[in-house]
Amino acid sequence: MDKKKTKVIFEETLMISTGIFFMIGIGGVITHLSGGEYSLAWYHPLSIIFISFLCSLPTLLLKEADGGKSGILRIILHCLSLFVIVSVAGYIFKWYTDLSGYISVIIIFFVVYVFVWSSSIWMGKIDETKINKALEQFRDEE
Amino acid sequence: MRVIYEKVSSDEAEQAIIKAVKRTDEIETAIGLLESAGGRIAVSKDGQTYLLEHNKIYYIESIDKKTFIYTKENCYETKLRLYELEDMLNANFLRCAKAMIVNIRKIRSVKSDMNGRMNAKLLNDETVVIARSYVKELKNRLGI
Repeated sequence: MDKKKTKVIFEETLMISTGIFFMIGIGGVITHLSGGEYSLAWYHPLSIIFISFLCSLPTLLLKEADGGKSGILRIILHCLSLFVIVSVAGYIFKWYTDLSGYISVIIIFFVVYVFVWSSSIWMGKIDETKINKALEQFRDEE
Repeated sequence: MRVIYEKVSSDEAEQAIIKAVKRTDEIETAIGLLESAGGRIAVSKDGQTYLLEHNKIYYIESIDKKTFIYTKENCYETKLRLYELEDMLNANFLRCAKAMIVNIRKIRSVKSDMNGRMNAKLLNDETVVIARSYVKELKNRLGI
């Protein structure tokens, strides 16, 4: 695997795990403020990073793929593959034990998914603006 | 660095002398630009061979082991491989995908795509894709 792909996987793992930890943090605050008990098992933080790594693999395929299926279809397939990874791996690592727990995980999944996509699009727009501004000084006369 | 321009009367008398303590990346880029400013590539179209000036090139694409060079309105073929052209051309030319090199000076604007790629609209209204992994290099070339 080349350096660029390793970097994409690392960045995605970091972004996804940050999103999940952020959501868990928010969940913890809400639970605490509403008077409930909230704690994580010893293996939860590492399992979050591991599942984030698994989720970064379909992301790599999505981002490296050239052409082929339409953009929206690829995003739907990407979302579904991540959903399956989170559901199965979440069950194995006991992120949820009953239906209400599973619903919470699903909600967190979709919030994190939107968060990661929004971050990527936002960073892309920043690059787009900077590049277009720099091109004004650089390009040939038409 | 102080730059001195001196007008000469003929093409033969044209020369550029760079005096520096060290041959830095910036100086290498300047040398590359000066050396290839009037550079030409042998290309062919419809059985005819032409010498194409580097600054006329919009982008270069490799398809099925053949290399095609696109200008504003024409498409030529060359026997050179993409990596050979990459070495030959100056810093204005950027590898933007595995099989493509684009002339940055011919990019009118870019638009970011959802998967991290950029769609670059050229001055002739054609669009080429800058792969996600080459966007950083484009930013470097533009000094961002």
